[in-house]
Amino acid sequence: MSSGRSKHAPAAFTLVEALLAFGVAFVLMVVLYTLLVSSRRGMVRGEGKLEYIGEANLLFQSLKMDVQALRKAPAWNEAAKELKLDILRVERKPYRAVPERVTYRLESGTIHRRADLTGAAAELEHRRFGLDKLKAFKVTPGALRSAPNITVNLRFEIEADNAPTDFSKVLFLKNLLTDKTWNPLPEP
Amino acid sequence: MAAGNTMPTRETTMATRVHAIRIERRAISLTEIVVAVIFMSIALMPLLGLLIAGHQGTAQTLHQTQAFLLADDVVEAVGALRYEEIDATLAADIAVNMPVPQPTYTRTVLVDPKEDVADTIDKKGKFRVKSVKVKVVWLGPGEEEKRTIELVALKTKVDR
Repeated sequence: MSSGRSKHAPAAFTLVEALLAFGVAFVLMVVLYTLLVSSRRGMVRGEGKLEYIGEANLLFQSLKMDVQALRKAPAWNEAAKELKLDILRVERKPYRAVPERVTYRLESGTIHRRADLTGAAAELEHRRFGLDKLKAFKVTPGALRSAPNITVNLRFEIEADNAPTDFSKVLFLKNLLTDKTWNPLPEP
Repeated sequence: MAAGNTMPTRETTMATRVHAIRIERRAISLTEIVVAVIFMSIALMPLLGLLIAGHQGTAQTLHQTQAFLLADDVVEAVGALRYEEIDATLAADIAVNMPVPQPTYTRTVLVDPKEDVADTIDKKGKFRVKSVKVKVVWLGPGEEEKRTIELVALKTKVDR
């Protein structure tokens, strides 16, 4: 009895079963593919956002350092997307203050900080912020009571993003510009 | 048992049964595939949850950074202003002159009207302290969940 039944039992799928199995596998593959693509996009977005945070903080720190050493009011050129800062750079051996002009300029997604120096010193002072992902850089002068300030706005965006990421920071033009006792070194 | 007898022996019967079982188990039924797919889908669910949680975590880090920058602006304002300029109307001035650029965040500035005054260590002067509390609120991953950052800035002055 058993040997006779086993000879006629199906050894593989019927066509209908094969089609159904193919359909189920296809749906499963589509779901998996969508999941992987969206997770990859999410990871790129997440990495991008963390990079934005790091770059924005680095830029704000650099700006803050320069703004604290200002000797003249900052000059913002909206058309060129360029911020000019006249600062006093402190040098050691001998200990002295050197006037210097620093520019922050947006060029193809990156803000370049350059000092008006030449040679190796210029390259040393040339810093880059934004990793080619900056879409906008804007500086607005303002004041709060007796304290003049500048508001720096940054906008980051890459292709994988579904919305731009904005950062804003108010930097007060304190110290050298407003407080004459902050740095005892006289200008040369 | 005579020679040529067609009656199966015990060994040949067992062999046939084993062969039959092997033939029956060669293919996988549709039910098994469906059950396997269901199990696989259940197994993939936590992975999806993990990805969503990771994405939300990054978004919250970004929110925290932006909120901290907004709160830090006020702390720096307190540092830049003179001691006498820290008064009850400062919050209104900050709202007008340093507006919050993103509507996602709500910033509240509270200037403590009470000034703390104490003698300096050498007893030759007065040490004065004013405090300003900054609070930035934004919505968390859940619509009703609110996240907050609070900073306190102190402004001091010594009268001699």
